[in-house]
Amino acid sequence: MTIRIAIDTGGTFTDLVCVDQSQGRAFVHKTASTPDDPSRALVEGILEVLRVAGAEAQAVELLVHGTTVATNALLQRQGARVALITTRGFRDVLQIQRQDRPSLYDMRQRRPVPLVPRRLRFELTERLRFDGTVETPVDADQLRQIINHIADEQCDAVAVGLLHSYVNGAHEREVAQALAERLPAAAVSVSHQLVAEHGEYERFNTCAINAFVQPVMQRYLQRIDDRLSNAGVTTPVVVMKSNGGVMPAGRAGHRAVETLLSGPAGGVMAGVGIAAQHARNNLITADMGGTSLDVAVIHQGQPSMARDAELAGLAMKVPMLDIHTVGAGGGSLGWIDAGGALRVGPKSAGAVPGPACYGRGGSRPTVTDANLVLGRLAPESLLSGQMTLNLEAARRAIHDHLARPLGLSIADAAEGMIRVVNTTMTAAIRKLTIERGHDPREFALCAYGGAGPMHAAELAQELGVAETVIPVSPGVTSAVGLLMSPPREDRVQTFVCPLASLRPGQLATALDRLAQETLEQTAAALQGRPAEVAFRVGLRYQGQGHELPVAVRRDDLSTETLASAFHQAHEQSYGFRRDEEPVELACLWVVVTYGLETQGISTSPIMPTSAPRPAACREIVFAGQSYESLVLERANLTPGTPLQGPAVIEQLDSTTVLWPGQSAEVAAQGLLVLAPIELSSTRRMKR
Amino acid sequence: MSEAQPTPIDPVTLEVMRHRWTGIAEEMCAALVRTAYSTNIKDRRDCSAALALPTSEILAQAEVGTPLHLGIMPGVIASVLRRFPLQEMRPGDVYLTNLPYPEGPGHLPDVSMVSAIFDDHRPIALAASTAHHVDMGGFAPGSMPFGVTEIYQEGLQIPPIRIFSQGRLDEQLLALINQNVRTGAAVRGDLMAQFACAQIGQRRVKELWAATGPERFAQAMTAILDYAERRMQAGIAALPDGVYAAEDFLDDDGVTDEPVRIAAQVTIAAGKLHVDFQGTSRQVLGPLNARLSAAKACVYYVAKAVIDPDLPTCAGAYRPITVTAPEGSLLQARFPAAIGNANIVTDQRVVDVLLRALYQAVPERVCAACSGEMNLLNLGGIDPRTGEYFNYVETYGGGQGAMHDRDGEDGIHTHLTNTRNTPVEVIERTYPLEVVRYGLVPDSAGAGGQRGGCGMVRELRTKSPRTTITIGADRRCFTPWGLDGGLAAEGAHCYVRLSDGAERELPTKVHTTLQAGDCLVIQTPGGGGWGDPARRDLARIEADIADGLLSPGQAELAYGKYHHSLTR
Repeated sequence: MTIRIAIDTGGTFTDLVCVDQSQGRAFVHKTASTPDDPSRALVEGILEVLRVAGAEAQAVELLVHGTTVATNALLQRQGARVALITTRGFRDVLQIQRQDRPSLYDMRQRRPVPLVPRRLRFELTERLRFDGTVETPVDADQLRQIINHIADEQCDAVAVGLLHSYVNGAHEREVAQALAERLPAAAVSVSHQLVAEHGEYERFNTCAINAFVQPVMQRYLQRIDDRLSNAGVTTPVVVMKSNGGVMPAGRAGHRAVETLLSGPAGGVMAGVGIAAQHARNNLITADMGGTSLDVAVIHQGQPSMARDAELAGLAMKVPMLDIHTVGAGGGSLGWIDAGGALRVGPKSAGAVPGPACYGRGGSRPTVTDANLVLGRLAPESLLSGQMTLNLEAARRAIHDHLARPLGLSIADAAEGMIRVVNTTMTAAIRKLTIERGHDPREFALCAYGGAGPMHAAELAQELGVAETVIPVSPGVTSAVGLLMSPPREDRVQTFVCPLASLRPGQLATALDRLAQETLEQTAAALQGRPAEVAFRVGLRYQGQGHELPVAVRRDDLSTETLASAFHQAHEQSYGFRRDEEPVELACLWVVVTYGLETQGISTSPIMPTSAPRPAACREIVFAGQSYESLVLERANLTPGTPLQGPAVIEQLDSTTVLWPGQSAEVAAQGLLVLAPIELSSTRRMKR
Repeated sequence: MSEAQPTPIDPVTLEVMRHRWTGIAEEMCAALVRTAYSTNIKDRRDCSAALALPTSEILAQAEVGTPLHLGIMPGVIASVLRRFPLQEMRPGDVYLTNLPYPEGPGHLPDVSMVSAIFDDHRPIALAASTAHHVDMGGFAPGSMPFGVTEIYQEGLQIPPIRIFSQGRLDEQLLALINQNVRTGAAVRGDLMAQFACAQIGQRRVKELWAATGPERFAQAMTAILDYAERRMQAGIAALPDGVYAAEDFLDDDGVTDEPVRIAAQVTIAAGKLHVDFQGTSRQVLGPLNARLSAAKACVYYVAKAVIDPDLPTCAGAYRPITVTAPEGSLLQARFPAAIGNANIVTDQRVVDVLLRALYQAVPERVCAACSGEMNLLNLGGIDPRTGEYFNYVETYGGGQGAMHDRDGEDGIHTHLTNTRNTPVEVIERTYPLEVVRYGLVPDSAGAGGQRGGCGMVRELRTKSPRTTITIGADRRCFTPWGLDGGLAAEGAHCYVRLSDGAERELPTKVHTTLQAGDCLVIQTPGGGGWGDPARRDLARIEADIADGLLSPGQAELAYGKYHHSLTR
């Protein structure tokens, strides 16, 4: 039992990383995804990577899966037929949302259609007061009628969302109980069991999303289970969550809403591992793929968390990694707007037709075409020669659509595209750092994804970042991160109380109860593993609208300690503090993590799967000049090797660009560390 | 591509620099939202931040929830510069004003701050911000009362003053302000937030200046303005030339019962757009008057929405646009006319009128009338649970007007506002109120080939022995009209259901009191329909009936003659 496998399903490829603990070796494998049923590629990939590793199915002790099944079901609106049972007078909460519109100026834009149509949103006579006391008990007769209606409508999932259930879940439980008895086949999602916070739209909608994707997720996990058993693999799958932790498949089936950002979460957790291994406390992760850039911040070794997010305009309140996404990737299209400026994105050529150089019918210029034209990307370097790129098509696309109309050379237009897309990316990174009180210059940049390492040097320069790190296998960093993610549960509960009115022991009792509930919910599946409980509280100046989470120690919950920690956090985030103002509690936040023996996995060297080639040279354009540049093979570089640009470092699925004069080094465990671009040697900033 | 002259800098640098300037304005605005104290700024995000050339031309502006600030900012900066010429400004000097006359912020709660950014010696740019403060004194909390006829009653007027001298806050001036407002602590906190916003702008602009070099810095500023002008010009040129006129009426001004006329004549010719508000009513007694800078903001909003929603906000974009209104009219009122509620009623209606005019030019780019007001509710009294004063303020969305190819949105904020609602669970916890109902109003949408959006209803039961309410709404009589044969929507309707079950009708602009147990019902207007109802598919009508948004009776009335299956 020494084999651990991570499977990260993407739109085009399913990435696998297989670690053999006994030999201290790791293997990377890519197989074509099977979007009609992703479990096929998953199981085939597992068998293939086991073959490559020369291991037996019985030796597998851990299977971690990053999946987009729930995400795709939501984005493509291919989920369950959901009914909602809600408090009388409030069936339109899902439709009105927060009454604001998605675009300030574009009146054609629409909010997303609610996941539950109005005719399937049923109002129940019952009412709790704001403090959880009962104003009107559940009308049992009416509930029976509603359930009969739902049965007639052939809904396969039901969301239960009642007002104030976050204080008292009794009415919701009563409804769920009746549903379980009378409609046993329906998947039931109960709002207070998913979200213990106030704000009815976000809670009801999170519940509706869960109901919508839950049956799809359950069927998918069942198919995985069946296929694995047939293949002789008996290890159950654990599923990556949006919060950077994993959960057992059984739980994922019931809480599918917690997996919606499962995809990019793995990469961020790899960043956490890199930060720890290389003693970089502050790290910005930038994952640049074909269509988008995902950015996250790791501050003092901890990934930044968000308490809510939106996906396709639908709000959900689930603690998750704070990942910011912008439409900037290899497939982003270059164009000229009505004012004559060169623009890049947010539209992308996607996988089909893809960049012009892919020769799949795309004729418009993309960032990948620009990199190819400049020589930064080699015609045969994608997947190390498994796919050749058409340089002529890329040149033609840039010439026809940009260079000619703008009166620029093809190379200048291509470099212009790179500069513009880099500006979009640095704007996203600035937003995530500066607007949250961080100075990017105090961070290192970790760039990965297929396109990240190609742009890393310039992003670092724009941001004033002193050090850039490129993971060992940039294209499969998300999969690597899956193996570094412990089982983790986050539970947040609304708890509004001025610090001054807190009774002795009240906070400790409330935190303990929340921790106990969280442990009870997860203990069964993770029996025997050591659990670690961390506590946070949300605090704010009385009267403020937003609270700041502050980490607290269970053995020191004095109001003085809380207040002083909050003043400090407020100053760090917002630049000022108001010590004279009263502070109040807004919420409690418990994080339970279970031990996972990750030592020795993380970023340890991954076996190359491409054949080594001799070092070569090619012409690459930097700042309008062509340089004879070194072409290096990543697999051939040994730790301690000093490198000097102009150069590119190629590997299976990614290319790192070194600017003229820029130095880099291969650090321990294969990490590539880039120094800043030497400005004096290139004078590239032509502004 | 436009045929305008080539820029002095290349199209790549242009785009990069534009991003940087916008980025700085956005960072300033984010700093303001983040550090602000009052909910208006923090949660409702009623604020904006801008950078301008030393000539006062806006270079970049960030707004998060309020297109109304779009056109206000140039006037704010101009009025400060008139009183304090640039050559008198020193590093660390910061100026403040909330005075709408002769030009400035839209009403007294909007407080603007302006300062110059210096290189080693000379001013190289200006930083400005506007934020809606909780209270600026006057007749009623919030400083937007009805029942007043002069700006003196609305609150404290602050002409341009120097509030920081070389970085030092003038405590005496602040004490004077604080003495005149109800929430001094919050006002101080919010002013500090605006100061923090200015500091950020200062720091980032200097960094950019140092990285770019003086010459290129100045070139880029001009190039960005020229670029926006080219885009706006290209957009206007794509509209058919002509003169397009439209009008609409406010029900009343809250003092008299006279309808108030808003008329606009839009002239499009040779890549330029001119709007003349000739024919608009004389200024009124009630607080619905506006100054021309507010009318300009409406025009800029409409131009951006109709022509190029993605257009960067800067002075260049406004160059091809001119706006005039007769002196002494509703939209260019003379001092000291009351002005406080123009932004929630009048300005929103000006937008409807402009869209109605442009319908004649580019029907496929406009929508029918929206709810046409922002349904302001201000409700206060003593909370029996704590014995302390409480104040609940919210604006309610309504129906959006239909477009030629799509229905209007139900229950949403349109045009000049985009603030979020307060959750029911937060209202009930924070105030002595029970929310009895919050939902869409069936049969409130304007019928048509495309239907308008439905209005909203909020039903509140009071628990305080005596609750004072102010409502600022409209469109009870002049309901949201349809276009291209689409029908009008249901208008606003406010009433009180007394504890004995009787109903008391309320006017749309009212200041009154409620007793414990009374139920206040506020129903907002729907949106107008588009196109002959005959063109609406039966399936979509039936879907609305199944969803309960259209009653069978109303379906028969609006669509029955085209679809016989709907007649009973």
